[in-house]
Amino acid sequence: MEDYIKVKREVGNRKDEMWYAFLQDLKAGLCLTLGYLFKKKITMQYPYEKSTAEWSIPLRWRGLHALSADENGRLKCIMCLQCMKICPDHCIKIRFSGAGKERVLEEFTVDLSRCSACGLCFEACPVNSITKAIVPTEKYELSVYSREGLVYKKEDLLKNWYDSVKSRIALEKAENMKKEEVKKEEKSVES
Amino acid sequence: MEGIVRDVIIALIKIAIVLGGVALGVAYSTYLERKVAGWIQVRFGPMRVGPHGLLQPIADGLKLFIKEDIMPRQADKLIFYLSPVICLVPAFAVLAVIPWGPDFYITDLNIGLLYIFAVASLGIFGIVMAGWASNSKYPMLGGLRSAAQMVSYEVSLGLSVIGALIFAESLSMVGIVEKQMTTGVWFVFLQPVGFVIYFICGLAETNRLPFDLPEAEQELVAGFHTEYSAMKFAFFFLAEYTNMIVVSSIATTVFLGGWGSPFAFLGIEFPRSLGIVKSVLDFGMPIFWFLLKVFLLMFFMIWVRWTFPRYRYDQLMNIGWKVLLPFAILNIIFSGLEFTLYEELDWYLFYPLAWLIMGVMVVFGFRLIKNFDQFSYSKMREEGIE
Amino acid sequence: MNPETMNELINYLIFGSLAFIILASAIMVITRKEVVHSALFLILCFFGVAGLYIQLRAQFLAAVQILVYAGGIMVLYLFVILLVNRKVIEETKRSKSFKKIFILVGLVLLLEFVLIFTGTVLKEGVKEKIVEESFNMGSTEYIGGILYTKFLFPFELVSLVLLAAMIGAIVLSKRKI
Repeated sequence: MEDYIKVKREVGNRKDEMWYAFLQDLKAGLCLTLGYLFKKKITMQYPYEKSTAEWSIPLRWRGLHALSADENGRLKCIMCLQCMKICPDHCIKIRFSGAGKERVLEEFTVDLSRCSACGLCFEACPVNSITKAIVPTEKYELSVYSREGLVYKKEDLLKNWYDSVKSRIALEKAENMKKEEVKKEEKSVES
Repeated sequence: MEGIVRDVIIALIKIAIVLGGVALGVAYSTYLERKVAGWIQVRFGPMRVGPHGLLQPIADGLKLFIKEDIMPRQADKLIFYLSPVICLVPAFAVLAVIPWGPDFYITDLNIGLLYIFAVASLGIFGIVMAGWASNSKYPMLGGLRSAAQMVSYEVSLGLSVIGALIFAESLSMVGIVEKQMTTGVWFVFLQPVGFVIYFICGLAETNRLPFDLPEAEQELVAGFHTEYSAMKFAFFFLAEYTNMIVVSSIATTVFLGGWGSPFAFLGIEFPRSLGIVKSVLDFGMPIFWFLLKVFLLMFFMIWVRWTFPRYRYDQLMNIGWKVLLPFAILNIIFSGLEFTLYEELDWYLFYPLAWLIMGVMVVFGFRLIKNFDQFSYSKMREEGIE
Repeated sequence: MNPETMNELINYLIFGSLAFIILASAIMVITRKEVVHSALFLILCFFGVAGLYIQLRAQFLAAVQILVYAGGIMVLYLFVILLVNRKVIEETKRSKSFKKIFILVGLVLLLEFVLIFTGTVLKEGVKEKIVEESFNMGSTEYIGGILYTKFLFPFELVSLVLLAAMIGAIVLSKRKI
């Protein structure tokens, strides 16, 4: 773009006829495009390459839902039903058995066919140990072959979590935190 | 009798090779067009069908072949069917006299260049008739524009080669090339102004981008072929690219030394010891040089297309009648002078002098045109006429 | 069959088909209802004439015939036809006031042809001379040479007429100069 503006200014400012008579204005334009001809191409060949050296999908991307698990593989969900209540499209369905601290999550279903990707469920989640319990992943390929495929069960959501980069990042963070805690404990023991 | 049969068979084989080669060349020039367009716009162009999209033209052809053929109900049926053919036939008929190599051309007419201009001027009927037969407003406008444009640029196109013809002393395509081989100088060095005018008019005649008003997408949907689909559309497409090849080939023949090698002045010949390889090389190298020059010109046309914006209609007419035509006529007068100088002077005196006169002519002509323009504008303003 | 008679036969065949094309398309030109169809048949007619020129070994004339008439003038005709409203064309076609003038012009042309034929081809000795000369008559050099030597004055006169026509067109289209 800067090259273009430069050439345009140069051509526009010329007043002498000699310059135009020998087609120098056309030459300037042609040289500009010739330069672009040999520039590095910026197209990403999408289905074959999903990210390039310059670009990958940002982690803030609000893609597929996932149920996060901690480093021991336990679901972080505390079955507070906040996400189910706040969802404007009623696409989250949660069922649990037991009561008090003994609650067991039996069903956690996200129906993407109704989801409007507002992201309120992620915000409403009160859990905050490294990540929330229900998190958006960076996966953006949502199309499936059947309507039923859009309904994500608990296992699918957990699988989404393990497929996502976020699980790895969370794991690393958790390990770092553990190490720091161990260090702190050592320090406190020393002191 | 046997002689005639043999001649006919040889001619048929030559025609088959040339038509097949050109059809393939056309297919791959669409590929080149899309690739260059992509590269200039920092994209890749076609990449999916085959390695680097090399099979894309074939896929496109197949697609056009099996598409539904739609015809408007109010169209004039006969002409609607006929016009793609009228468009394509002259484009292919011109190929008959193009000399691809010293021993490889379908025929050599002694009015070769005139034949080309005569036949090529018929392609316009296809476009005008297509515009009329569609019975729809955008094709109609496209056809009208095309008629006006082609008639105006054909004049300068014809006049621009006359300078080169004065030096060639022949209208036969083979004769023109052979003259350049024997004198050892390509006519582009004697006639640069003619070459530039020819090339610009060639762009206009093939409806390439700075002058593609007959099919201006933004104004006329697709111009004269808006109502065409499937194979009939493919015919127009074929005709456009065949015309590009033809215009490049004529420029190569008349101005760029035809099949002559650019290293001919070194005087290198293949040694006799090579045997059959020598004869193959002697046959193949001129064709290679010819095709290389055609390719470079085609590349230049595509490059121009993806660089410049389209001219407005009045600008188009101004360029055609007020700039190119006066320059073409000036160039003819200059060529007469140049030819006498060429006969009289040695080369080290001739070239600087000729180029100096040429430069003076260009500047003088440009000033003259500009003054005329300003004069007519001021006149218009005084009298208040449009 | 010896080659000479066969050559002659082929010549007559070609001439016959060309003549048929010319006559048939000429008749089609004046009988078609749609003006554009007439124009197309007129182009076909020009092609037939060009074919005749080629048969007479006048390739230059043939090329110029197609280049100027088919490629140039007919395009302008078409241009005008496309610009004019269809109804206007039909109405002018129906009016018969011009008919007498056309018949008169046709008769004058016919008379001219008859005069030319009796003056040249049908005269004794002239035919052989024409046949003798016709072998190089069509070449570009011959036409160029004869135009700038023998027929220089008529040639310049015709160009003057064209110039006058051009000036007339400018005057007509631009009322105020």
